[in-house]
Amino acid sequence: MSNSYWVQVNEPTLRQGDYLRDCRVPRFLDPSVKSVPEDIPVDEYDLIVLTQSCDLDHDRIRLVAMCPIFPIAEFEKVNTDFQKKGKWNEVRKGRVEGLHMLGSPLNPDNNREALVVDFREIYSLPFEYFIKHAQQLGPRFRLESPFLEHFSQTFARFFMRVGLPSSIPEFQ
Amino acid sequence: MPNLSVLPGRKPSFDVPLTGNWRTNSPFQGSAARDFYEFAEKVLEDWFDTCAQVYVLREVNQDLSYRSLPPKRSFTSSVRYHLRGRGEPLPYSLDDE
Repeated sequence: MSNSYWVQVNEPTLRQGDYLRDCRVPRFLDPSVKSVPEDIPVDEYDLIVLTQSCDLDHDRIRLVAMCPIFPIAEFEKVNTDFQKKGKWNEVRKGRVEGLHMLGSPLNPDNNREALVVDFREIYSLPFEYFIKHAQQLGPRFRLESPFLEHFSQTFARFFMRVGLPSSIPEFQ
Repeated sequence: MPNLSVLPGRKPSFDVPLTGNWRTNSPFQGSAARDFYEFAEKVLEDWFDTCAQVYVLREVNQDLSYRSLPPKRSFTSSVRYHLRGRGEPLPYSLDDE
């Protein structure tokens, strides 16, 4: 069992927890099929693999599920409330639904270099795309156990949550 | 279960009724009036505690929401569609577990 969040790999296989930089996500906004070339918007994200490694191993899937991952400083630029003292501690303790914090690959002791995953945005892109992209990227980071299982469990808990129409009144 | 309370140094933004010299302006007098004032103060205190809890819950809820981030980069790409027909289900083998 490792104390570090990430291990560096350079291989043409994908695993859950692989951190792939600069992935391209096309956005098809017009459902009509045209016979002439058309301009479509393409967004670029750093993504982390959500699909289970066993499914990736056995070629059971055509698409790989991924979530965006950001340095916390980048996240704060859009969500300025997170610059306030104590907000990242709430995320660190797992109290903010949809967000999961991971240590920095290069400097895990510096919490200001930590990363945050947004489970609200899930992208599925072809397996072949990610295999080719991983090969082009060269060395990349892969989440290590038990941080990988923790990440996977947090996503599962986020995805399986149930909204109730009412709740038991709070105890005073 | 711990009680919710307003953090020290943080002032709730809701209005508090019966502030100032509300007793002085009252027309009631005597011991019955004293009982009435004590009861009124108790009601006010409970009401204030409830408002403080609602305020804290509202603050917590607002503070922990977030907006998803835009992409690192966006550009347009010219594509030509190749319609491959309706997608077929993947083969599901039941004996490979």
